[in-house]
Amino acid sequence: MPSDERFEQILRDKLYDYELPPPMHLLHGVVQKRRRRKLAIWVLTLSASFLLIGGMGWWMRQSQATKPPRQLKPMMPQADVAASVSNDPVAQRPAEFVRGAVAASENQAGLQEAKLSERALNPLPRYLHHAVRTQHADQGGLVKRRSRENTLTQLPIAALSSMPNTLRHRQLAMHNGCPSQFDKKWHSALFAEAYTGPWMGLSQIRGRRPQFAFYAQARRETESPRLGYTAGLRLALLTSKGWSARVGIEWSSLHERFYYEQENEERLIIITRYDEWGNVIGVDTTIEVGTLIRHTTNYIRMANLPLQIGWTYRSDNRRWTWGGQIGVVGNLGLWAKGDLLSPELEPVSLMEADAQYYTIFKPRVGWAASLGLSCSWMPIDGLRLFVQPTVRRWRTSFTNDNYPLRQHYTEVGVQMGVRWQL
Amino acid sequence: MTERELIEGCLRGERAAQEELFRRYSGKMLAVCRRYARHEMEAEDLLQEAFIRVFDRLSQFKHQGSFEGWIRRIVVHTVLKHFRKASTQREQIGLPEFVEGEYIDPSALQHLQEEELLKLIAALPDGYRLVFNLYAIEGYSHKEIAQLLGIGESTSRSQFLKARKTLQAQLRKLLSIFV
Repeated sequence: MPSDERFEQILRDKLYDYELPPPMHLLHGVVQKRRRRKLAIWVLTLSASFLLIGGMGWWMRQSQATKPPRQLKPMMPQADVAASVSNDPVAQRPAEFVRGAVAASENQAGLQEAKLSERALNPLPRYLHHAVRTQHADQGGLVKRRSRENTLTQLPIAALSSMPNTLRHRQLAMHNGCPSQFDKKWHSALFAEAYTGPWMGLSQIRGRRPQFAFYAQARRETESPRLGYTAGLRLALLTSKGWSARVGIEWSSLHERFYYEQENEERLIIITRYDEWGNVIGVDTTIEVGTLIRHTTNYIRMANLPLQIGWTYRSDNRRWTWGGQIGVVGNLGLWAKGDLLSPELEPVSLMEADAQYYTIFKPRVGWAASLGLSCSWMPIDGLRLFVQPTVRRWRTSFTNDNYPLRQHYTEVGVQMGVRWQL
Repeated sequence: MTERELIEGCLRGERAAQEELFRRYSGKMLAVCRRYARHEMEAEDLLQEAFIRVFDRLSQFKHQGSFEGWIRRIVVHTVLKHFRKASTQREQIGLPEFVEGEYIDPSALQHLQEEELLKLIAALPDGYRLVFNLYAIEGYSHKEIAQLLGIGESTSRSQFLKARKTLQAQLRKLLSIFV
């Protein structure tokens, strides 16, 4: 019906482009809600990472615990080995026995006799690795080189079972939760790490435009880095091949010294004089000229989420390890406190609660790339102390986009902590 | 500040650009929300939710077509999502009685203020209001509405007709007061 169409047309004309006054009071809610949601996403990511790494570690540990020890395939019938062992006059000595067993098995298989070095006669595990590694066997015209990982799987089971318990333990089982680095099969173990240490933030201040170079220089001259600290907790998943993954939560405090000195600062002092009845009898006005000095320690505190992967080399006795880690650090929040020089070159506070404040820092600063080297020592079984010098570079400027200067940070420090197996 | 500069500023997280974008478009979008919502508070909640999505998805805007149209689509979809989610809590209001009345002169509508029209639309039941807004004001087809709301095309048509009749009846009542 034309009247219905006209009715709709009028409604459309009146309402489609109808505009109400902008509800600016709602913008704060939009910003706050977005911030809360982003934080929730970070928390969920952190929880999921914990669950993933924890779950993987638990699953791998469970699967290791439930599987029977690997059955080693003998290269000769066990009865023959037993016979050869029983005839061996030095069978009672473990090292000699294993050497005899290896030789016997190699002869049985038609392989050339191993050339055993003096070194090979020493500690048994080393002997086993080196002896077999240096062998080359010609079988059917093909040269076959045996890798050190294959050493144990080539041994007769009787020889292995006759090894001293400690040796067998070292070769086949995880030592205090640290998987063997020379096992062919992947093993893993889950650890918790707690650390703290000295930490320092080195800021690089640059103007967003050339005309701000003077202000940037003034800020550089009034601020200098001081020693702060870091502390954190993390989960570490270590594998038998030396690879590791870490995730955790960290609190860092970067400290800076703000020092401002202004000569010829004028200060007006007004003193009102009263008589005994409280009436004003005079006002003295004095102008003092001197040097204004403002000296503050600034604190930039950050909650971070570090994620790392790394590789670790272990010494033969596993007491010592050395490794390297790379990773990313996500910032969950940043809080700054202290003073700085405003663009008008006046000292102002970073705290909103103060009368003269000037907020320059973002509430969150994205992510940083990190690089670290580590060394650890095991004083007692199941516990390891570690030291990890780390350097970290934040990708984005810490300052708001409407602030005339960019302020990037490089953090350096040493994380010192303790690691224990879960 | 041009539209492109505004968008790029928002993507860089500049508070000033966010404020400007909100100032430029929130008034119109609040009017859109008012048409769909039952009351002002619901409209403000919907607007906040819609602008969170706008800021979150700003990087997806390809600078093809109208930016305002893009924001409007997000607002409408946010509203529809809200009503789908709240379908279990929807007001169970009985259909208002409408009578086949006399002819209503469409030009009489011209004398009504937009605020009064918004109030009339807001008084419609949820289903009527959604379909009426989508078809009569936004210009969606019944097929599109059926897809958006998960209803049949014939349902969309019948809801729209009933909404229009209800609205006309309410208008008649209102205009009779003025006369």
